[in-house]
Amino acid sequence: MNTMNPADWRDSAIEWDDDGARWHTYVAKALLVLNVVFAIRYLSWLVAPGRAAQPALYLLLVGAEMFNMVQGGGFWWTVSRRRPKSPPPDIERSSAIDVFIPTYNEPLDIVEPTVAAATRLRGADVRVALLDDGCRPEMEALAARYGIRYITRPEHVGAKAGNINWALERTDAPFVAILDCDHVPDPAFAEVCLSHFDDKVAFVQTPQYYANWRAGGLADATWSQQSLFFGAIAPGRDALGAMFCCGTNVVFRRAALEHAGGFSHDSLTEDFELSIRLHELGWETRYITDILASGLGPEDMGSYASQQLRWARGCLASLPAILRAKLPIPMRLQYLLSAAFWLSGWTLLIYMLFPVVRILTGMQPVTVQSADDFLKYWAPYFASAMATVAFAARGRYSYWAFTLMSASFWIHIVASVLTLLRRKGSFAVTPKKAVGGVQLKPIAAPLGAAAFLLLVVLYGLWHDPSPATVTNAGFALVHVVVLVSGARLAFTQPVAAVDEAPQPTGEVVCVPG
Amino acid sequence: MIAGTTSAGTRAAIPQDGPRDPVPILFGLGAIAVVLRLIALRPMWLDEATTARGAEGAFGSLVSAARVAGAHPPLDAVAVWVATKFTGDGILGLRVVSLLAGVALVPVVYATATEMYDRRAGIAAAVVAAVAPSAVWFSGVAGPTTLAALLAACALWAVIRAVRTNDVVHWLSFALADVALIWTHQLGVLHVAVLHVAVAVVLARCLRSGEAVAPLMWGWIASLAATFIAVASLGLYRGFGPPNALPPLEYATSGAPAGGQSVFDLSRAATASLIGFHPPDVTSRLLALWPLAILLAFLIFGRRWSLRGGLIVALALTPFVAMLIAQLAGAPREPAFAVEWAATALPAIGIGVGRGLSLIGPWPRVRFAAAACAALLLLALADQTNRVNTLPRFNIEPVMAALEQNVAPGDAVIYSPPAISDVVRYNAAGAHVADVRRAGRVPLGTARRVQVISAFALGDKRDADAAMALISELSKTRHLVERHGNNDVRMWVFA
Repeated sequence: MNTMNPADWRDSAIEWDDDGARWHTYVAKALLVLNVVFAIRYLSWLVAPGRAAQPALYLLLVGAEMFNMVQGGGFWWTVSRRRPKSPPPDIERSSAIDVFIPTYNEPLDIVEPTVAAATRLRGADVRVALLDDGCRPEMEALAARYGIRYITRPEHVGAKAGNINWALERTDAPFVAILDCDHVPDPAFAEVCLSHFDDKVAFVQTPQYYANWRAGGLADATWSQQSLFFGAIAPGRDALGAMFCCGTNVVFRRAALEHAGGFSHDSLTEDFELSIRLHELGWETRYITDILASGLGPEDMGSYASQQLRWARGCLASLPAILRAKLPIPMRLQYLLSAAFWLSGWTLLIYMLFPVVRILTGMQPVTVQSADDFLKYWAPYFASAMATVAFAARGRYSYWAFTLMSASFWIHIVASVLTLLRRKGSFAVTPKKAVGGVQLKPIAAPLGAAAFLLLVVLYGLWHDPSPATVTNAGFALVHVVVLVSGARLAFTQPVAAVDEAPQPTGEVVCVPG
Repeated sequence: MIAGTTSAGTRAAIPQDGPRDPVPILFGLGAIAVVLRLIALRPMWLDEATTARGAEGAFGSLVSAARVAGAHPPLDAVAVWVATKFTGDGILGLRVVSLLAGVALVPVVYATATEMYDRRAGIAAAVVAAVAPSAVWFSGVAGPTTLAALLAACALWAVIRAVRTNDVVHWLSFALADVALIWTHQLGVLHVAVLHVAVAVVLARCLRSGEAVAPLMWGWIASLAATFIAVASLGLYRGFGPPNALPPLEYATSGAPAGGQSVFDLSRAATASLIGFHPPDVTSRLLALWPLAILLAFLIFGRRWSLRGGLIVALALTPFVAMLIAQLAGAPREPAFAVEWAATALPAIGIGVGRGLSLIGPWPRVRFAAAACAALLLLALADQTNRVNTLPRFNIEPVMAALEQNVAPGDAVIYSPPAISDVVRYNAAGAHVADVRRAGRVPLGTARRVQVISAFALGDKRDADAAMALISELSKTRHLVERHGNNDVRMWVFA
């Protein structure tokens, strides 16, 4: 794919087994029923008269559990709507397509493979343009070397959205593909995406694959998080007609973009808000599960935190727009679920609070006769919910992905506070290469919380080693392990790609006897 | 085949190394296993009296006793019967099968974990098999638990080898281990069923990827046929047996590996299947740490499952799920949620722990983790050996010793409740023996001496009242010459 930089994860084979078998949809529907039954059973136990012990703590618990149940319910509903994979509609499109590769400060060895691959796209009249907001001579030279357009602008307003809008005014193909400068497209990218455009479709989104997941550590965990979305949630959203644009590996119909007024300059998640506007205007959207471009995920904690904070602030800021938008109820619910997900850090903070308060003051949210009584109602709910995530993500959502998300609880809190205060955020490009050394700032909050919880545990066990204290110490230790596991990813250095990137092997290999 | 590496193998190089020469380590672990099992030997338990009585009698009566529905199939009893012909029916002779099976479990678990994963996982799993308090406990009990665990491990090893090599010897080993397991433990058939499902899944995957499956199919069909024959013959054999069996009494004792009726008791059984049995103060605190199971769930669900991983989890869970279903269906095997029922899960649990430890990193780190795990398990074993004892609460031994010493032909021995029938009959050879409800069938008037035994801790009020009424009756016609026992079990001797 790329001759300049052979040691590149993006050259390695894609590992993505998303066959969308029919039996998966049946199992997902069965799990939906099971989850709802167990959730209602647990909820009815939780809100039973006389259950509250300390009223304020009880309200916090019920609130956190309700929030998670709604989020969980949304997830179960979404993944249960996934349709079995069918052959592409094969709509004949021998059309022209502008391929935009926006860049700002990324190094040449990141951008060049993308440019090279873009020039090899087939199935359409492909017009590649490098949108350089950094006005760098080496990018101009790169564009010249590959014979593509080099577009730059005098004023760099509106970040990536502004960059694309500027290019839209200077190009004219009926379709526009957007590839982040680290996303190396497959030659079939344009051809496959264009085959899904019927007259009502505004855009076709494909997965945002992080090829550097093999580097391990943070990159692996972030791809794991991505794969839950692109492997399980996105196909369900697509079935509900509510897929939103993810900013890269997407092909737009120019007419739809113009109808919506282009990308918003005011949003940190311009793609998310654009999707809402397009749906409101009656356009349809498509998602295809085939990976048609290989990109790079964040490899260091600072980059990850910056990306998550941007997404969180952007999505939370979109909440009023979602509420105002004239959308069908399922679609509106889907957008609300996506945006509200970024509040889930609050629930983790609440859960961390309970063992601390119980150990230090003896107060607890609920009256429970015995652990057995609680487990009877909670354990089936928890187990089925966990099994659903594992099933829907086909095992791709890893322990490390979960701990990374948990260790990022503070990002959700900071994002929601900044959104409430209406502080204006700035668009920060997610770095494509790891920064050397350990970045302590993004993990200060989880490590601080873990240390505090550990101190409380030690204090509690020292003063009162009763089974009740031990149970609360157990809860606190779960948080400690999860937070430290997530923060630990800041200490792992990504493994560099080698010239011959390892080929994936299956879990089960059939060898002739 | 159930081969290849998981996707993890392509990530930041998880090393597949291990000790260069595992043989000395295995010998060392085997020696430790023998020493621990001998150190931890306890006095004979009530249930073992049944085995002892069977071993002492004719082969036919032994086989008949094992035909009772609810009892385990007879292979272990047969093995004990054979063993006692060489070792005598002393306590060590009765337990020699369990002891040998417990020690043999160490290399078999090593071989299986190595076959499934690598040598690091193999050594770590062997450490668990050698020192896990539950493995040590059941190695010291005359019963089918350890033999079933060994056969379960053998069947797993054989099926992995058979699928990988398609060698006749391995398919035959698999079939033999299957049959033996089915004839050893009541829930052995479930373990075997899971293994057959795993083979079916492998075949389906091979079919899907266009591989030739015919050679494997023949081996599988043959082993499947052997399984069906074993199940059918066991069913026929059981069909002639009486409908009910008494629950094992071992579990009726406080501090012993008790069963229970709740989800919490199921958790207790699952915990005990690794860390053994502990006094209530320790058990309650250990179980209070149940939130840590959330972490375990994150770790189990939060990874891409290979067929091997799924198989290990399925084998470890199957007996517990069976117990839970039986409980929910209102037909629990008594004692409900006892570790004994989970015998076939023990190797899978050991291999699972070994695999978990092997994921920590390169061999030096795994070695350290395995040593730390062994230290924890040894601590638990010390607690189990020193603090779990039946004597303070239910000690039938002094009464049985007195009975054995005093009883003579022509004596009448009346006992209550019926549950202690076996142990009383074992110790009252030559006497007329009956339970208190059938006391009328014994010639009490002409008996040389009448000995009345009542285990109040086990019987219901009716049994206790009947025993006291009989004692009252006998007091009118005979002299009370001796009295033995404690608050739980008492014996009155009338001359």
